[in-house]
Amino acid sequence: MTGPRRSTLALSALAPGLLFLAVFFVLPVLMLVQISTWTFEPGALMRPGFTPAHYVAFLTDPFYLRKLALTARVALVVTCITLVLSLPLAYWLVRARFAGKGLVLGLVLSPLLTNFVVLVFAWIVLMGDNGAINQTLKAVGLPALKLLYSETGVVIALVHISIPYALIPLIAAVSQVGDDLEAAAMSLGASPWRAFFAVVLPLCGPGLGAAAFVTASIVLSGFAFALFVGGDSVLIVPLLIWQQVSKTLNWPLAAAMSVASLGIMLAMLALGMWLARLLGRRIAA
Amino acid sequence: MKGHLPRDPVLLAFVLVVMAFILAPLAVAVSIGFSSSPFLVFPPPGLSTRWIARFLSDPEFMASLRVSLILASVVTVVAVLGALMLAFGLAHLRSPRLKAVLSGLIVAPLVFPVVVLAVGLLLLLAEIDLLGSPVGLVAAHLIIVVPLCLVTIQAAVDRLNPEIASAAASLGAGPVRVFATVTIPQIWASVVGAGLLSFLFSLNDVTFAAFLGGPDTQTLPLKLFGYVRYRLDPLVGAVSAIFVFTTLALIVLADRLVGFDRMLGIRRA
Repeated sequence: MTGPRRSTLALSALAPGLLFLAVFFVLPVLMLVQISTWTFEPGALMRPGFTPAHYVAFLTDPFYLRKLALTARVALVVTCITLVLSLPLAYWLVRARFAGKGLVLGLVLSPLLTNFVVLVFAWIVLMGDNGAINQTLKAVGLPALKLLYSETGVVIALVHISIPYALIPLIAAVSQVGDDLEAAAMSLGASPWRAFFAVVLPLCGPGLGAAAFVTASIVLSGFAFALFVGGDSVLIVPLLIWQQVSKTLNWPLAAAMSVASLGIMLAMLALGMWLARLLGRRIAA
Repeated sequence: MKGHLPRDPVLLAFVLVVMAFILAPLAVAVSIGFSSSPFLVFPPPGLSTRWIARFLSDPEFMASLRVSLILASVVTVVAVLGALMLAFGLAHLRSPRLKAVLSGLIVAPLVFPVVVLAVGLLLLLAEIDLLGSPVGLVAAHLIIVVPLCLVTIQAAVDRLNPEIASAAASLGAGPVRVFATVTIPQIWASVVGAGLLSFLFSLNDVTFAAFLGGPDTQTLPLKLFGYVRYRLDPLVGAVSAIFVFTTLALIVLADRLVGFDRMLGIRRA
C-alpha cells in the first residue's frame, strides 16, 4: 500500500472513534468547568453566568472543609495501604512459577469484575455491630470494633476494591524489571529482600505512581461504598456530589465540587511523587 | 537460585493473607445466597436454594436483568468493533508521535474518577435531551469500555507480523480476505478477552446508571442499589452468588482463551 493512501485509511478508521471521544469525553469535561461557574436557582436549576460562588462555598464553608479534609485523609490512607499490600503481591504474581497462574491472576482481579452489591453486602454482613468479625472478637474475649458506618470500615472496603486496580500497573512495572538485575545485586552479596528494596522498588516508581493515581481515582468515585458502608457518618466528597445531583439538584455546585476535588487530588499526587523522588535520592546518596 | 525471593516464606505468607482478604468477601456473600435462614446470619445455619429461586421468580428483578443484558450486549459489540478500528488505525499511522498522542487521549477516560466523568456526562446529556435514555447510558459505558478494549486488542495488533499479511496479499488475496483469514485468526483471542471485559463492566456498572439512569434504564445493579438501601435479606446474597459464579465462569473462559498472564503482559513460565 502506498504511503499517502495508507495514512488516509488510518485516519478514516480513527475518525468515528475520535469524534465520539470529542463529543462524550472532551465536551462533558469542558461543560463541567463552564457550568461550575453558573448560578443556581432552586426553581430554574441553573442559569448561565459567571460566579465563583460554588468554589468559594466548597473551599471556605466549615462543613465542606471538614468533608474535604476527611476525603483527603481517606484517600491518603487508602492509597498508602493499597500500595503496601499490592506491590509484594504484584511482584510474586510476576516472578513465582507455578501451574495455573493465569487462573490465580483472574481470581485476584475478580473483585474488579463483580458487582459492587456483592461487596457492599459482604461488608455489611462482616462488619456490622453483630457481624461475623465482631462475633469472632467476642468469642475470643476481645472488645467489639465499630466498623460499619465508620471511617475504618470505608477505608477497608475501598482498599479491598483498589487492590485489583492497583495490581494492573504494578504487574506491568514489575514485568519490566529484568530478574537479571536482582540476580546481579544478589551475586554482589545483597540479601533477596535487600535486592527487592534497592533494585525492584526504585525501578517500579512509575508503576507505583500510576497505581496511586488509580487508587485516588477510586476513592473519588467511591460514593456507593461510602453510602452503604459509611452511611451518614462518612460523607466523603463523591457522596456529597451524588447528593447534589440526585437530591438538591444543584448541578453547578456538583460540577464545582468535581473540578475542585480533581484538582486537589492531582496536586496531592504530584506532591506525593515529588516527596517520593526526594526520599529516594536521599536514600541513594 | 540461592534465597530466591518468590519462595521466601515471609513473602508467601504475606501474599496468601492479601489474597484471602481479596477473596473472603466474595465467599461470604455467596455462602449467604445459599442460606436456609430468612435472616442475615453468617455462617448460614443450613443450605437451600430458596433465595436463588425467589430472585429468579421475581418479575421486577428479571425485567431489570433483561435491561442489563441488552445494554451490555450492545455496549460490547459497539466497543469491540470501535476498538478494532482504532487499533488498526493507530497501527497504520506513520508518525509515532501522533500515535502516542492519540492513544493517550483515547485512554485518558480510564484514569478519570468515574464520578467526575458522570457529572460531566449528566450536564451534556441533559443539554441534548438524552438524560435517562438507554442511548445516553450506552455512550457513557463506551467512554470507559472502548479504551479498555483498545488496550487489550492493541497489544495483539502490535505483535502482528505485517509480512504474513503482505505474503497473503502477494498471493492474490484482497484486503478483506487478508483481514478475515489472516489477521483475525491471529488476534481473535484478544478480541474475545476485550469483549468479556466490556460485557462485565457494563453489566456491573452502578455509577453511570445512578447518575444518568431513568425509568427506561433500570439496570439490575441500579435496582439492587435501591433494594439494598431499604432492605437486607439473603436475596442480595443469592444475586451475589449468581454474579460471582458467572464472573468466575467467564474468568476461566478468558484464561483458557487468552490467558490472564498474557493479557497483563507477563511472560509464560
